[in-house]
Amino acid sequence: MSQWGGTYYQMTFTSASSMSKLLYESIMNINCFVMTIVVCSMTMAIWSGMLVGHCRKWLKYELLEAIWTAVPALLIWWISSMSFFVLYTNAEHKEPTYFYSVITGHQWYWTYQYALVNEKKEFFGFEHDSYGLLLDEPSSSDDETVLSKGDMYLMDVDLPFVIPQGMPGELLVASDDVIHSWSVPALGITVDAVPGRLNRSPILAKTVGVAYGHCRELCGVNHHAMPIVVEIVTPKTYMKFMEQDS
Amino acid sequence: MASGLLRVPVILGRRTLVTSVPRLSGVTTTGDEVPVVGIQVPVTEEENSKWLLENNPPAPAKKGRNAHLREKLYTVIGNRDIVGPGVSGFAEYIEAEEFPFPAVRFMEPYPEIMPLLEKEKGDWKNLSIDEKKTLYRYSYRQTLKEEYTPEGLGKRLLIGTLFGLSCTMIYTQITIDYIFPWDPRAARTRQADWQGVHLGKLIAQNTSYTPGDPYWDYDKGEWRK
Repeated sequence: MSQWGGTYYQMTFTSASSMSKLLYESIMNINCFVMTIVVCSMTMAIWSGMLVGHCRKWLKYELLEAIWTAVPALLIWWISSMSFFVLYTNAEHKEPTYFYSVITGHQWYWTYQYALVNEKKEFFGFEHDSYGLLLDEPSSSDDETVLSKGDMYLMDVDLPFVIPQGMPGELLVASDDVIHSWSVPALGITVDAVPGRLNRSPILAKTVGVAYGHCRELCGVNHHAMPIVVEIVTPKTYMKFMEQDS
Repeated sequence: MASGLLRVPVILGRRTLVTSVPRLSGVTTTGDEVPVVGIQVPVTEEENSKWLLENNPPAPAKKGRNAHLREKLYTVIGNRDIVGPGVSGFAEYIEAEEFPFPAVRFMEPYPEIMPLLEKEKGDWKNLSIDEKKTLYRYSYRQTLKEEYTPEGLGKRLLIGTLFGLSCTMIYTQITIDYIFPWDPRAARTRQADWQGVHLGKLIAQNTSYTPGDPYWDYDKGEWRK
C-alpha cells in the first residue's frame, strides 16, 4: 500500500512495467538471501566464541571456495535469464497496431499528435500541446494554466495525453530542439526524444486510469517542469475523443 | 706458475672479491713463455674460492640450540633466541590469537637479564612477581589482555559518520534558508484540504495503491455513517 513519501514501484498499467516490477522483486529476494548469508558468515569469521571461533583458524577449505564460486555464478545466470526474458518481451510489437501517436519534445513542453485510420482507410488526427501547470494564482475562474485545488505541482498538465485501453499502439517520439526523454514509469516506457530521429515504442495499456511521468534527459532550465500525464480511457471514450477533436 | 701475483681484496658490500694485480719485478722468461705486460689471465673460480676460505674464514658457530639457524638468520632476528616453529616455520615475532607462541623471543639478551635467565632455570617459586613480569616482557611484547583490547575503530567510524551527516544537514538548511528557499506559493498545496482533494483524485483516477480514508465514502462524497 502506498504511503506519502514512499519509494516504491508505481502501479502498473502495462505488462512491461509489471514484468519489470516482478524482475526487481525477484532480484531483491535473491539479494536479501545472499546478504543474509554474507553478513552471518562475516560475523562468524570476525567474532570468536566457543561455537564459531573455529572459523578464524581455517587456513584452507577448497570445497567452500568451490561452493562460493559456483553458487554466485548460478545466481547470476538465473538473474540474467530473467532480465533477458523481460527485456525482449517488452520490446515486442503486438500486431495489429490500432493507433499511432507522435510525441514531440520541446523546451519545455510536449506536443502530442494522434492518428487513426477510418473505414475508408484514411488517416485522420489532430495535435495539441501539453504544458505543466503553474503555481500562480488563477487570473479567472476558468484559467486552465494554473493549479486548481487537488492538483500536483510539477506533475499535472493542462491537456493530458490520451490512449485507449486494451488496444495495441505505437508511440513515435521525436524532438524539436534538444534531447528530451518521454518517461512514464507506470507504463514501463522511457523513450529518448532525439532531434533528427524517430524512436518507436510499443504500448498496450491494460487498465483504465491516469499515469504520471517526467522528462528524463536534462534539457535546460525548466527540465523539471515539463511533466507528462497519460489518461488511459476505454476504446469507446477514445473514439469519442478522436471524433470530437478531429 | 706465475709468480709475483698480488691478490688484493676488493670489498663489495658484505662479501669480498679478489682480483689479481700483476707486479713485475725481475721476471725472466724462457723462450716458451711470452712476457706478459698488463693484466694477467684471471685465476679459476676454484682457486679463488680456496684462497677466500683460507683468508676469510667464517665466524665460529656459537654454542647452544639452533646455533646454525642463528648464524643464518642473524640479519633477520639479531641475537634473539629461537624458541619454536612459529607460524609455518618462519623466524618472526607474530602476535596472534590463533598462533599464541611466536618463533622468537621479543627482546635480545641484555646484561641485566642474564642473572634472571639463570634463576629461571631453577624453581619458579623463588621468582618474585616483578621478576616474572620482566621475564614475560623479555619473551613477549604484549599481554593477552593488551592484545585483545579493541582499538576503538567503531567509535572513529561513528564520529566520522555523524560529522558528515551533521555537515550535510547544516549545509542543506543554510541553502534552504538563504540561498534557494522553497517556493512559498507551493505551501498551499501542502494544506490538509488540498491534500484531501488530491487523495480523492488519486483514488478516482486509479493512479496508485492509495489507502484512502476508511471513514470517508468516496462514492457519495460524505463521511460514512
